[in-house]
Amino acid sequence: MTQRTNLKALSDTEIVRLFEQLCVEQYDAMEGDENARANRLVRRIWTLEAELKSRPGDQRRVLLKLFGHPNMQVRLSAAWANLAVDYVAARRELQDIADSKWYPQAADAGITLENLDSGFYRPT
Amino acid sequence: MAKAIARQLLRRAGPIGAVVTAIEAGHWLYTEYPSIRSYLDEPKTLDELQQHVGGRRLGYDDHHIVEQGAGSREGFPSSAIDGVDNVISVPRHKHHEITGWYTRPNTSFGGQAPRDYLRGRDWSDHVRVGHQALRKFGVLK
Repeated sequence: MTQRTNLKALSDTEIVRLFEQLCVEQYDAMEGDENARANRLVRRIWTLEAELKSRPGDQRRVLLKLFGHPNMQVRLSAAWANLAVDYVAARRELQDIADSKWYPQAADAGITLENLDSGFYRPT
Repeated sequence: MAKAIARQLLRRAGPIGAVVTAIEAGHWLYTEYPSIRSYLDEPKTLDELQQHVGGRRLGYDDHHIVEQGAGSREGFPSSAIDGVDNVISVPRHKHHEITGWYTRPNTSFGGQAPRDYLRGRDWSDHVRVGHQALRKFGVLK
């Protein structure tokens, strides 16, 4: 059974929980300079986001509840996932992360904001 | 964090072991302190960052704004890669963070790692992204 098939069997709540878990693992991998592992986790997180997007009404908005999470990577990944769903709220979360100066997430958030403002990045 | 480490030492090693480990930890802190302190540096201008290149300062690394690997990948001349405008002295842990960022798949780069996005692009694009990373990681004013 493929991972995508497995994801179809999960409820929105289960996907949110898995999303949170993988983001925390990504955070820990980055803290330990385990770049290859962090990169694999990024792609797994994106498959969860893609699954939510594919659900009726685009259910990425269920990740909004992760805004303000104690883990900065959870917040950042949830914000990214919601730029096409609730741009104002996601952008506000990114600004908050950028202002926190909690690196490297603050840098990622700041770069995203700059890339949004320049038109270089258009969320879908 | 230091308190959490001390608690774990005592639980696992007992009082004498904790003393020995504390001495080792003190040595670790002594050797790591320059990198810890440099991480707290305020952002600097390019001129300021260029001042200590090659100086082998503790806690700092020489950083290539356009990556050294891009030299061979993109055919940029070594005179440009190693030129005075491209090499700066940055806090070591910031250097690690920026290097990691270049390799990580990135939402705002269309899902590509910045390093992959830059393949086949010209020097000015490499510089633009390099400066962007330095600014947002709090290294460059």
